[in-house]
Amino acid sequence: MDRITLAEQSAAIERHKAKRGLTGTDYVPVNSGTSRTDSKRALLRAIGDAAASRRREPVFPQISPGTGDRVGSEALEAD
Amino acid sequence: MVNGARSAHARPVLIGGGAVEFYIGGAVASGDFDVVTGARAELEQALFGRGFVRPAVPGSLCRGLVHPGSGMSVAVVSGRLFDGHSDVGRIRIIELASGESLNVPPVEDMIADRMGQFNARAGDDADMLAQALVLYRVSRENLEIRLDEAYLHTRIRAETLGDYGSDSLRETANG
Repeated sequence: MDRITLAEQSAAIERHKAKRGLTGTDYVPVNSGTSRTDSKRALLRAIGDAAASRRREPVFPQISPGTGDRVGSEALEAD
Repeated sequence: MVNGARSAHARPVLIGGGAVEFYIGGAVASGDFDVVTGARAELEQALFGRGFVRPAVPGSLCRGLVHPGSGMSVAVVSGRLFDGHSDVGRIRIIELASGESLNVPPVEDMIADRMGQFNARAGDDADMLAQALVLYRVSRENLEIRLDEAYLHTRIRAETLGDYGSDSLRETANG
């Protein structure tokens, strides 16, 4: 099995971005979320609820506490 | 975390948007980490030991675990990596600064997975194809991890039930 450090992989990504003039994170489209399962929605809802109970923004701030859905026009899905 | 598991089948492997982000950066994941393992109970016990809890979600079966302090969550999928179609000898081991390690599928599998999702949905899923293209382009330029075009072709053919191969992706990426 190949081994690589996170730093090495990060460097590879940065080389690619520099070569193509990319910045930020929107050069990769997010997932549409159209195939999200009930379990996945429940988990995302729990993340949002946990963040809300701590009166903190979720680690991934686009997750709605109420629905587990991505807020805004760019819904996404992890798998 | 539980890399001491006895077999490749049991070894937990990060999949989904988290694995895509490892290879190409961006902001793909939806807030949780999807992990597949043949030793789900063992992994969940390890996560419980680190403070994860199973959230109580009324009327719903939530298979994920949440870490209340950090907000991090993990969805544990029981089974074989890509239903046994992945060559587990190609799993990449990511060495973290903490001294621990993380397993991710080979990039060829992640490209094929995105192609499969693109191909599986009525009307196609353009976002999945776009992710596959970025994965492919970054991987071709990666000096540390070489892309295996033959393995990629085999995996795309499998995930798209023969509808596509690596030639389709290459031509689009070069276009």
